[in-house]
Amino acid sequence: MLTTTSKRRSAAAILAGALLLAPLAACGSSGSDDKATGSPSAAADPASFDRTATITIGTPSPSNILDPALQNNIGQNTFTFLIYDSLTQMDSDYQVQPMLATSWEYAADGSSLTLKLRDDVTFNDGTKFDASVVEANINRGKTLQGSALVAALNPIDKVVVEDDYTVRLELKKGLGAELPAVFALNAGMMVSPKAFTERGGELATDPGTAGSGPYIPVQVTSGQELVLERSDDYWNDDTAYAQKLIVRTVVDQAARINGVQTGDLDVAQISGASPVQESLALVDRGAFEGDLISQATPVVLMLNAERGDLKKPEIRQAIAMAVNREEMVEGLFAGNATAADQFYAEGFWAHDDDFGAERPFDADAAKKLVEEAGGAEIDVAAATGSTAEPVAQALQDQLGKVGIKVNLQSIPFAQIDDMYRRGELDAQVINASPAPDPASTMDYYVTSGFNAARGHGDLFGSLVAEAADPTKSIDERAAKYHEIWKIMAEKDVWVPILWGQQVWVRNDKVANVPNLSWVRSGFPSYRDIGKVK
Amino acid sequence: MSTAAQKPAGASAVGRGRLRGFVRAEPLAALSFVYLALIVLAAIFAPVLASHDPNAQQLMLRLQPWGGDHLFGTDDYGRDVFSRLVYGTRVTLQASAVAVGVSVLIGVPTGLLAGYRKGLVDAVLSRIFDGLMSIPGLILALTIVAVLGPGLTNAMAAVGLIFAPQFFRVTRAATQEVMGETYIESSISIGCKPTRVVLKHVMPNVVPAILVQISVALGVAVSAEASLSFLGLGVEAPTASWGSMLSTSAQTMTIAPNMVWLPGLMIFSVVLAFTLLGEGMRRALVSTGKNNDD
Amino acid sequence: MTLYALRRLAVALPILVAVTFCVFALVDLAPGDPAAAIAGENPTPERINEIRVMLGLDEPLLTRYVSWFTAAVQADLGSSLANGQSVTEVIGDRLPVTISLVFVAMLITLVVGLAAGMLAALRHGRPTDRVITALASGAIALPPFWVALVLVLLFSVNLGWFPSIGYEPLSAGLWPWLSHLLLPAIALSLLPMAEVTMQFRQALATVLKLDYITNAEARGLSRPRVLGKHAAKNAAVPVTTVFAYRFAQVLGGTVAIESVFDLPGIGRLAVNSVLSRDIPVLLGLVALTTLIVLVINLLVDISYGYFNPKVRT
Repeated sequence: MLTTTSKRRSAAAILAGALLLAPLAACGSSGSDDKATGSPSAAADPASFDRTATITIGTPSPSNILDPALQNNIGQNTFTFLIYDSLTQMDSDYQVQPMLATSWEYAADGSSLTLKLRDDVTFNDGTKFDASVVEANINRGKTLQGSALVAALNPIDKVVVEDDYTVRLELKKGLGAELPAVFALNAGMMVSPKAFTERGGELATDPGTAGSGPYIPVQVTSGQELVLERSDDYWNDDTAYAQKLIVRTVVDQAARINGVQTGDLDVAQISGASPVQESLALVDRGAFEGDLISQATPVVLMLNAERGDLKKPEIRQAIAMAVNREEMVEGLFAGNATAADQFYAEGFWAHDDDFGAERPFDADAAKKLVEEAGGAEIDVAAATGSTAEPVAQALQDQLGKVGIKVNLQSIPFAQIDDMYRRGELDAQVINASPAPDPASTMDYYVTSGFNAARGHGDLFGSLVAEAADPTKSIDERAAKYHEIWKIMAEKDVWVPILWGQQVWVRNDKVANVPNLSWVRSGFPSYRDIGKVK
Repeated sequence: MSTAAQKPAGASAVGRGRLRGFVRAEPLAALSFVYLALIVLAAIFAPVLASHDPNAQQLMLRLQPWGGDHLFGTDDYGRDVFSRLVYGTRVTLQASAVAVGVSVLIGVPTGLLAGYRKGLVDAVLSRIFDGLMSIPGLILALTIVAVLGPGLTNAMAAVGLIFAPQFFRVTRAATQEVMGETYIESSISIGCKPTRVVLKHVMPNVVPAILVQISVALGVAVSAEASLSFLGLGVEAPTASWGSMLSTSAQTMTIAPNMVWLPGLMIFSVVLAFTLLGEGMRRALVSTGKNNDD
Repeated sequence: MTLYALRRLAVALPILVAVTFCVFALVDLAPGDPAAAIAGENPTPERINEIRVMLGLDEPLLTRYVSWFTAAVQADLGSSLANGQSVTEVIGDRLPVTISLVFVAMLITLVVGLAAGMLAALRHGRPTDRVITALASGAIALPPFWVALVLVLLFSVNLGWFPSIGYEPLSAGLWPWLSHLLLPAIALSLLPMAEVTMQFRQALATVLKLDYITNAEARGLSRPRVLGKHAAKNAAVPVTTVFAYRFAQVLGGTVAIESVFDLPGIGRLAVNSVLSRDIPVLLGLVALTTLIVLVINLLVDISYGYFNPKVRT
């Protein structure tokens, strides 16, 4: 049986932000229109969970640096989420929720952010959690040699401890709207100051009791396996249902599918066009069960307007018009995807429900544009073995049909993003990770980092700063971001293509996958996963 | 060299008689030769044979089963599997030729030199090739890919480097054997130039052993190409090779089993043919019973 | 004998230096900046520079090689770019897996290969011989990773006899250990097994025709004793050669096989290191695998001396 959490076209009346959890009697390999029937089932009642269970999880995340300040890849959160508590957390639908901070409030002029903290939290090494811990962690993140948090914590000018459980962050002018969301990831993870002063160098490979999270790592085999045991006196009873978690890195998709079939894994994430289709076929045959989950991570074609034929606006426009999303979604992804017209998925506050600025598919018009420009040739890169690679291959064909010659470049993971950021690539198909707050996304993908806006001159005027103004309401900020997305679509700054779906293949005992925090990113926090008795 | 009965196909027979003798003594090898000739022809005439453009995608028609417009169905981009197999023959053969070409170029001249000059030259060259043989080939190929980026030519050249010691050894052994013959000693003693001696007397006697080795090495190279492309470090998309066709097939074993079997069958049959041909030639052409691996 | 071994050792060392230096220099030519790769998401140029100095990437090639080699001799291969762990430790973690795998594969190779080779030689020219020869030719032609895919589908997924992924150390028990290794080892062993079969069959067949064997049989010694005493010892040399030569290939073959079975060995480590451009790990792997193969070759060379005293000159 397959449950689905998605925004399929059949489910027309889904409220923004709500999840659709529905069991499927059967799921064909191509998109049948009435998959969503019946009542929710994957969200089992925690009372039925076996509190002594061991759950073995297969993840593709290849590395595990277990010191939040040193993580160099967003996928590594899937390990650290279990060990450390963070100031805030994401729910399964990208909404910021309290964790160690019970509430937060910006000063009326946006000059500071005040966090109220829990008073009942103790680190697993016995250290008490309080405001001074927050101060020490933020300072560590800003100053530690090799820290990966410098950019994320940059808006914070100074940390002021107001009382034991209240901390005020003084902000640089006009910055910091994204902080509550940023604190849901590694930038907000709290490490015991005792641990990082006494054995900071070991944390990446042996964190032990350095966190206050519900699980304590008992065995770390770097890059292979993390074994965790539940902490007995965690402050929140309504999580960490399993006694023991084994998070295993299994890079190969087919090996993960096989692993769940043979019982070597209890649950594993499967992504990419063919593996998802294969998994669904196996669910059909009763080999295992699956939860189909719509990803919030769009596949986007990044275009560097400073290189070659991409300097020409008409070529960029032709590219945007030549992308046949329907063929990608229904063909390449066999219906297990949703066409993307913008960066943030439906249900997130920065998503524009009435967008309409995307270029509709029009091969003839694109062809004409290319002919008038005297042809075009571009390189399109994708990371070797990534789920973006098939999309790049399909793009080569689609763009070729309108007269744009595409040379594919397959570049290893470790190099490709850096090469794009340095401006050495024409175009790259990326599996983007939208930040929980679009202010971080702008920083990471648009105005610096990937720098999608490069070569376009002043696209946004004061819009970017206004959209990131912490004194504005969410609705006001959303309106500004909608304007930004429109400008980017009209100038063909980038081409969002689709949101894929992933399947968590699992045995019939594993439950609660669709409710996992951050699950739509593909690298969830597994603390709420359970096994029914 | 294993049985006396196969001796008649030896050096004395010439021309057509020799060919007929070979076919009679080594029917499997002869059959393999015909099969490989057909494969080479398929590679050359790929554009004529293929029913479709091997890279043309029809995303709405992906993973079609056998039959109909697409003889062997379509792959995960809706490309015609039959046409990709045919064009893949080209890539696979070219890649194997690169690897074997590199090893022949490195191994044969040095082998001749070592066998002819003996002494210090021989000792030094032998040690160098011993060293080359100590490097696990795929790991070296991976390192080269890490440095130069994915691409079949680089990787196959690395594989070729690893094969070179075998050619060196075979050539050296065969050369030494010929050098022991009295007619060579006499032609050197009457003042023939070394290069002339090597070209006129040594080469013809060494060539059969090298041919055998080439046939065997081509088989191994086909297999190596498949391994590299399987790991995604060989041929670049969208070009088809048998290995690259297999690389994602493990992900679609249930919905498209033919993607596992067909390229696998091609690799198997071609490597088998190269091996059988090599063995047959070894028995027929290399008249001595000595072990060439020394 | 000792002198002979020492001389071979003296040759092995320069080879190790030459191989590692070539790879070291090759890696230096690579485009891309390893410092940038580990600087994390959205790094500042200062941060990249800081890491570059931290890694000593700003010094000349030869200086870096010499300091790498001096450290390597003391079992210090630097630290992984991926997470700062010591390379010796990273490789050490995974080495037992690959050694176990290669050990089981080579054991299968020897046991099955020798048995089949002997059977074929004793039944020379008869149907048994033909079937064995045909199977061996076929086995040589099967790409190991493809065999692996098929084996896992048949025996793990469909029949459920063996686990499909992962590894258990020997300390967890003989069967848990072996059950994780059997399928990948079979996939790895097919090619060397076929070669050992062919070599042994041929060598035995040749030896069995020699005069002294016939004489020994005429003297009334039983066939098995003749085989054991004379024939096998003579046939051992070519078999050992094949075995030694194939060892390097089997070690290289683990790269593809470990991916299919998700075995956490050095083959998969090599692929991961290529993808993450973890150069120190890759260098360490090349050095270590070369060293292992050199040692095996050395042992084989010495064994020649045992089988055939003539080479001890």
